Amino acid sequence: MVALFVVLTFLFFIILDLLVLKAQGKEHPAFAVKVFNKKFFFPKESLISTSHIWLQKVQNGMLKLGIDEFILKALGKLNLIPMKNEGEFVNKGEPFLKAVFGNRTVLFRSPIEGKINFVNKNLTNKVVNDCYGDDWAIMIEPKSNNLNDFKKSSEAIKWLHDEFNRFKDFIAAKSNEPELAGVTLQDGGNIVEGVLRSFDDNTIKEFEEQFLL
Amino acid sequence: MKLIIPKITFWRVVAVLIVIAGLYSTYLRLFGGLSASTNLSDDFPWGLWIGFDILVGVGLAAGGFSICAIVHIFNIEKYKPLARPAILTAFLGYLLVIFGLIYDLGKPYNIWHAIIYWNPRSVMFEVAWCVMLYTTVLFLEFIPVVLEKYRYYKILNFMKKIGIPIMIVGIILSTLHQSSLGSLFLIIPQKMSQIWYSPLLPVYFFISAIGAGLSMVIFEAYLSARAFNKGIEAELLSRVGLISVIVLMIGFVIKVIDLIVSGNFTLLLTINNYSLLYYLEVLIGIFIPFGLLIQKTFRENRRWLYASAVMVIAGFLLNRLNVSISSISPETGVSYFPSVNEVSVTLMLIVIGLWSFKLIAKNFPVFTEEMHQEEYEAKLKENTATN
Repeated sequence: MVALFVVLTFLFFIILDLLVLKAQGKEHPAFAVKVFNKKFFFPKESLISTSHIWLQKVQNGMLKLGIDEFILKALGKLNLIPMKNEGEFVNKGEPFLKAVFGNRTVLFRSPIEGKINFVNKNLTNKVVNDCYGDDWAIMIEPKSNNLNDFKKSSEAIKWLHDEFNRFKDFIAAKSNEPELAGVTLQDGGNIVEGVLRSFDDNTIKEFEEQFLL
Repeated sequence: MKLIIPKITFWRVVAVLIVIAGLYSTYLRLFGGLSASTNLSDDFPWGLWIGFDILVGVGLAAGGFSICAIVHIFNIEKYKPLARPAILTAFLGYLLVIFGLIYDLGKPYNIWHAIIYWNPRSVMFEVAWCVMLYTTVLFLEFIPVVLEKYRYYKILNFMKKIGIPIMIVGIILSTLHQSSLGSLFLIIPQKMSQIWYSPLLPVYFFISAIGAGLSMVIFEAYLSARAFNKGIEAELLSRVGLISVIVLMIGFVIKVIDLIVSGNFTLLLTINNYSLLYYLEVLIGIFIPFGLLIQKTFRENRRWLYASAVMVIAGFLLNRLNVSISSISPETGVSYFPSVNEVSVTLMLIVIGLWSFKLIAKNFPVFTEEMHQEEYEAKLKENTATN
């Protein structure tokens, strides 16, 4: 009976907490919408381009490419579709990857010139959730070894923070209906993950032009 | 100086009432003894304080060493954001375990005896030493957070260098005493229900501590999100949830094989209070959470993830209290139910733990990511230059 008493007491406090929060008009984190926060993870050994594509040196001088966490948070659930096949050449600034979220798409441009040696076949019909790990996009043999244009470690994190602030301003400026972006955004509050889904095609296009080129 | 009066909220009022009741019970315990404050007896010497404060407290604090092993030993860096809160939870958890033990000891002022008067053949001696050493290790694992706050970069760099050996020691100590807690019951097979008694109890205690400890990391993350109005690492936590239920399911499979081999499986086919308690324990603590979290849809849904963590913890509570109390009651012929004082002391310790966590997390960088090495070096140079 002691065991039951303790478990029921534990569950009683959990339920009471939910009721108290409800009475206070607050939301328990378990029921809250995911907040797009400023906290970003970026692998130490990787580099990042200003088009939100990360690069990482792998064997034989090849580079692995994929999208960063900022994109995941801005677009929400998405699928990636490589637009080039293995063996094809891609120029710097040429679209090479498409992200599909809901019924919308955005294109990513290659930050580097080179020959595509591998395409991640596991991406087919897969929702991206491990953007720096299993869900990489392509492996490229770069034409040049000059990687000086890219940012790494703390510089990369700082840049992602700046992009977050720029994105927040972008959303605030574009939103005629604040509830789309997050009810408290105008008061300096948070935006939610996948916020771009709530906007029209023109805004998505502008996002692509301002953040992915 | 401006006096800041904390805002009165429902939970603050409840917490203050619990602490007042707990302090009164502490007074009774210290000045009236165990008989004046508890329902314990010579026939039933271990009750709520051992069953909950020690066995559950130590087990739920296992999230600290599990996450440390994942991040620093298996080098899966992405779980790093969970490490500091998990270490803090474990550190506070162990301090509260020691406080809880002080209440339960007949002569609390003799708690230091294990340090001087060695009895290496006693399991309790091993547990006492492991808990002391592991609490010290947890302190050392947490100290970089304090050093980071006060910008002692030289010591911080030194601590970073010795960090991995400390963590390895921590994992070894945890493995030892998490299982030894199960060994405590190996000497009383005749007093325990055979549903729970097994020579493999140390193995079950170790496995269940890892599983429940990881779910405790999830639960703590939700509590922190609620208290500090911060986001949760949903993706990481959903993976932690999956590991948690897989570990628990492995433990369950071993248990079933053990019951069959020992011929005790038939005990589960008879419906009585004990078999029902066992069914409840595995249903809430293993089957339902496993059924939910094995599916990606539920695992990635923060509502179900939270519900599963709560169920795993509830199942773990049932398991530890079933082993330490329910399984012993029928055989001893005596009954036990905790007194109001025992309950109020336990609740007070939980409130103190929550307050301490909140206070520390508010004032130290518990939730921020660790700085990169380059930043340390830059700060170190800057610090040396200014000196």
